[in-house]
Amino acid sequence: MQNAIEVKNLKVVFPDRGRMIRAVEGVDLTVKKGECLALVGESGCGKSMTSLSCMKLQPSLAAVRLDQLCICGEDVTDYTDRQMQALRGSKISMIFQDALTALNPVMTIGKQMDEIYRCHEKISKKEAKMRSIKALKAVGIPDAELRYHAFPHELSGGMRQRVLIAMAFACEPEVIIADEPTTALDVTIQAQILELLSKMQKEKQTALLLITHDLSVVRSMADRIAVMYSGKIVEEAPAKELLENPLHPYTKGLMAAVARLDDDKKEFVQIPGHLPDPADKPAGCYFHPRCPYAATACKKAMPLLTQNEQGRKVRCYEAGKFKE
Amino acid sequence: MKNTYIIQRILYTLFIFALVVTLCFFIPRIGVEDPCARYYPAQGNMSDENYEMIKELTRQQYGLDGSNWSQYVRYVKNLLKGDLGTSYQAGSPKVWSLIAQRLPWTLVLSVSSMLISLFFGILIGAACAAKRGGMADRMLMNASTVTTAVPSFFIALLLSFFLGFQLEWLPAYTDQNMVSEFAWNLKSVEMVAYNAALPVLSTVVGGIVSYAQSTRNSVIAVANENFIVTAKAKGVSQNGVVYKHILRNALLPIVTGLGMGLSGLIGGSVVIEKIFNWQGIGMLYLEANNNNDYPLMMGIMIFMAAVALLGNLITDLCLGLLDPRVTVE
Amino acid sequence: MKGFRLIKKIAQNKQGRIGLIILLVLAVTAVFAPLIAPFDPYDVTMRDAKGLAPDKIHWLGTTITTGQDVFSMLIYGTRVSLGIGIITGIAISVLGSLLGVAAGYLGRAVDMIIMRIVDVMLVIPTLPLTILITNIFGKSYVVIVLVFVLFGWPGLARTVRSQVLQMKNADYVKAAELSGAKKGYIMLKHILPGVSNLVVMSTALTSAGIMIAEAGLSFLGLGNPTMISWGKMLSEAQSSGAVLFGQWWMIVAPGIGIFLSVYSFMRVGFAIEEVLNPKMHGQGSVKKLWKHMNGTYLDEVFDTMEEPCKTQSK
Repeated sequence: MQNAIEVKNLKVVFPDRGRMIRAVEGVDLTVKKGECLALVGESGCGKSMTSLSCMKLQPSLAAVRLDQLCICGEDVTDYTDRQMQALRGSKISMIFQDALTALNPVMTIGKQMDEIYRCHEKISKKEAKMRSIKALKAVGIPDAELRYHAFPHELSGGMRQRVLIAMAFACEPEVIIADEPTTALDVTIQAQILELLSKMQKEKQTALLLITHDLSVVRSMADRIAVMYSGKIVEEAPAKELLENPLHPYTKGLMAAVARLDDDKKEFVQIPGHLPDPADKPAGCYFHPRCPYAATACKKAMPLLTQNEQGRKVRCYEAGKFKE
Repeated sequence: MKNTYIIQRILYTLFIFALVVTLCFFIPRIGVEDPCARYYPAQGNMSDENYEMIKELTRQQYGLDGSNWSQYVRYVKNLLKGDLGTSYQAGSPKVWSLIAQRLPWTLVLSVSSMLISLFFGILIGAACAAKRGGMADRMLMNASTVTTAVPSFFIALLLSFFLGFQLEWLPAYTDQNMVSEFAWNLKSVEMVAYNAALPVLSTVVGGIVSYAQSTRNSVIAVANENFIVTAKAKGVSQNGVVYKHILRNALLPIVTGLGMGLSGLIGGSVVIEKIFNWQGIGMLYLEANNNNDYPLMMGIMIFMAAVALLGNLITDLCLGLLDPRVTVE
Repeated sequence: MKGFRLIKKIAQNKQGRIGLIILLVLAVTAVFAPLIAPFDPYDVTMRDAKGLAPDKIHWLGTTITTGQDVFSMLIYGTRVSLGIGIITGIAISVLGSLLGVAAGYLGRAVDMIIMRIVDVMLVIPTLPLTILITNIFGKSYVVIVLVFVLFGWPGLARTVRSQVLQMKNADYVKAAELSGAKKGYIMLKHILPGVSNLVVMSTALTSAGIMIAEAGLSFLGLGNPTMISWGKMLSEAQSSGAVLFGQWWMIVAPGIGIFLSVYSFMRVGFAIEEVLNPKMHGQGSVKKLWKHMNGTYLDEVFDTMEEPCKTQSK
């Protein structure tokens, strides 16, 4: 199967208050066509910077290096901003976290929708409007003709998120990056939005890179899961295997932190400590100060992301040894 | 929705204006029992009877008869008819006609200085925002503290000294023939421009820097907003992002700043007018102050406040037009 | 204690240090003016020394009409400028923050009344109003300070109010309310400390603005006629013909005085803002790093992230 998006050895740093923040340190990601890859991690671990860099939309102060970036089989590693413009929105698009700030407050929903069509296809204003309304209807917005003329602040949070989804799917791109698409919403709305996202993805056979810190979101949607910690991928596996049998202690901790109703054996555990300072990371494995299984080797050198006999990728010396 | 907003703003403006008029009317009457005594102080060689008689005549002439309250009612009534009262100046001219005489001259200075500041300010500010942290940007940041710390009248004095008296390039003192011989021909217009050069120049420096500063800040603030990333992620071109998304949002704080500038259009240049002896509203006010001409001072203050209020109203309405989030409070 | 820490922090900030140093020099000058000034600036009897150019005795020459020593006048002028600026700045901050907090926290009628007053005061042109009031009540600094305070607080009150409105719903305020604390207590103990940063900053910036306004007023001949101030020196330099005679220092000296005092206050004000809201700024340090961002330094950083062999397969 062809890869919808492929990133090799992505590294991002940016200065902040006189310090160099090491946001992403050599991340490889591949999402196949029609697949959903979830990138999971705590806030501040470099997830968002990874997703923005995949579209070459990193903040102007950030410096990015990567070995290769392919979108839909097209090698865009050395593409300029102008060349990227043609791809953004049409081949690859993005759903942002906070729909209120992600929409231009002084433009109507409709105008912002039309803009995508008018950027990528040579069509008239009238035609763009028709398609926008159709797209709004497709994401379940009632009275789409009316909402077309509404301003973002006049819609509810859930509606705004639907608009963002409609925008992302507008030109039927092959890859969509969803950066915490439900975090800003109420729990009940979250479920609706996830369902919609999942339905749209299945229908259009779009590859989805789902960025989240919420394992319950992942459980329902992801085919594969990559766990990120402090700028590095620490474990990557098919969703079912990873959830059933986490190999990295961090993944295990993440899962234990989510209380499951159907499982009363496991107690609700918290991972002690917090993410290392991104400008001053510890020697050895970045997770060792918080890791209950840390051995001496862990304090000396960063383990590599290795593939074990079962074909599972994990970055840990003690991988799997701590199973009960 | 929109109409209620407009009507509400207009009504509120009228309400504040009424309060301003009341305040301006009563301030000169604080601490005096007989405002007429201020106009016509007692003189030693005059009998009390004569003095009373003269005061009575004066009262009738300037509407100072009756209680303060009835005077106020009469003043407001006249104001509604567009009459700002009568000046104490010789010949008792109407306050309104005095203002009308001087107003164009003040506007020549303030409007041209505002337009120049606005044009160059926005241009420079946008350029600095585009190259954030660059040479020009850093220069602007430093210049803004320096120019706000230098009063414009000090710049005016320096300019009039060096360019006016020492080098004699431009007139350091306004030629009064400019006013008396004014006609709508090229020669007169040239003369006005020649005489206005220094006064305008002295206010323009600070104006440009402050508009540039606010433009830069608002453009940078908007450029960091999430919806700009969204627009880029949609594939909107660089120009499209700048003109469709950044500019309109960045305009909002600039319009607010402009509104504040509008309120200083009439009253902002008293000192500059004094330095260059420019016969505008500011000079008229200073003359009125020297003559204890209270009706004229009140009239000018009310007029200035009205202009400021109008400026605020226009700003609010423009913001309402530009920003859909602005609604009735 | 808190104030001392703040001053220390300002001194550590490069911009703030410049401001503090200038301010200190000016303050010392103002306090010890009689010791520093070589002549009595109020002495108008020096008839043989009128209109002198700067020399070793009269560093900045003497005035044309009265022969006063300009340098001594300059020294004494510091008193008026700093005195008026600081007193008025503090008074405006106290009044503005109290009324702003009251309007924002109490809301309803209190808010209505205060904000209507604010709207009216912001519309009335300040300078003409000050002229009118000095005309009626006489040209004394008490009157001038009172007018400045009376018409200076609305701007601050409006800003404070909008910040209080944001704080009003904070959990700790709600918690205090639920535990039965009185409104006055909450305003004093919870709300006021929350806006103190804003108020401290605005005190410095307001003082700077007031010093310019005072200089303008004195320049128009509407300040206290018995005191020497920089604005008055400027106006005398212009009216006495010093400008015509080419005595530029008569303008430049008081002008620099005004500039330095205003500039130092603004610097301190901005430094306070930077120290108290570090998130907003830190521009300088970014710039320093930004230089590295294009060079070999960046390569080194990226190289440290390199791993000997990416995903090893068995």
